Amino acid sequence: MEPVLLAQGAEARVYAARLNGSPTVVKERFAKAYRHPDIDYRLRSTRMAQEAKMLLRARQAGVRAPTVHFADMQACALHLEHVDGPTAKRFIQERTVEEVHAVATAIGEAVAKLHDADIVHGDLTTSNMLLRGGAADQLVMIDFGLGQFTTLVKDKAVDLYVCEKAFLSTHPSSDALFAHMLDAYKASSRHGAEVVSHLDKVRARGRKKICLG
Amino acid sequence: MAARDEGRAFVLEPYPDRRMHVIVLDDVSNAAEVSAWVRQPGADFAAVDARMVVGMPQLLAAALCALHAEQRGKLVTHALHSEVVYALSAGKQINEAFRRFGAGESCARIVIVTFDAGAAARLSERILGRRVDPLSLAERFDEAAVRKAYKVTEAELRVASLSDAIVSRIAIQRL
Repeated sequence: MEPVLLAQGAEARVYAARLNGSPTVVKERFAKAYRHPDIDYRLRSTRMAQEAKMLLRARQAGVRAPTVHFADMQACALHLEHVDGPTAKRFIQERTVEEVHAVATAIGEAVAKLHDADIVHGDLTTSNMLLRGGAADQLVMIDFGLGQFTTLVKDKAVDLYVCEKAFLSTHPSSDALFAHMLDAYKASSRHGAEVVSHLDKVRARGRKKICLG
Repeated sequence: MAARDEGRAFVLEPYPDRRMHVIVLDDVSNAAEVSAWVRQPGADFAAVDARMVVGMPQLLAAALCALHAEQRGKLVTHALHSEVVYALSAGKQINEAFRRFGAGESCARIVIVTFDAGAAARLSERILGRRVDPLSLAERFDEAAVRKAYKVTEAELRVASLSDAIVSRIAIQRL
């Protein structure tokens, strides 16, 4: 079957495909002609490996993430489980207030679990969260391409900051919803209070300046 | 003449010209012999302890990794069939993989995996045991041993099936 292109980003293309009878999503980090071939391959393969490991670690932390079916080390392509369901973005736009509230809670709890396992997602937008079968209690986190392992409170606060920016820009007048998500985060994360208080500092100075200490 | 028995054949999609033959046997009485055959250089099959197999997705994932490694010239164990046993493991240690997943001398339930139809036909005559459908692997396995080998926690099983948890580990093993 011909793979169908679903999305294209700066470093990868995402296809719909099949593997051993089940529907899959293939995320292929394509070669960049402007880089030296050796360096290019090393970058693509290490990034693929990093993302795959993060998907597994997320699950070990109790957060739903796609199954990795196969890592093609030739093409630097990950063959992932196809998760059937709407994005959290669409869900929030279309569903009732109660359902949307339940999803905000689920997001807060999932991010808390990731952070407690020292995983920072790096791109917490509502487009990177799926609801398997359209169920509010089946939140699946996808696209760990910008993720990293870190124990630092500031990295986790920046993760929340990115999430807040994405939330407020995709969902108009969703301040209350994000606040609800933060409450759920604070309640279920071990260092919730600490991270959320650091979030205020990040809000004051922005995401980038964080690296200047 | 009756068609020869090559077990059940599976095609792995990225390698359409290869066929993976799977034979599952219960109450095997000559496991010591099987274990000796599989240890010979140039063995054309893999013998896996069925207690460690939770279903076909696990075997397909390992077989796919082994074929991929062969194609790239990156076989860790230097032979395709032994690579299947190695690929089943979550870790990179060869010894450990064979100790845990290889069918030992006293193994009563054995899964034979081979990419050689001739080997499948030969083994289905020579191994003394009761044939079982490969799809029934999912019904009988040693859950405690499997979970220990793959280090699967309770938290993970709340968000994923055991089979999916294992497939992810097999896919990621070499990264």
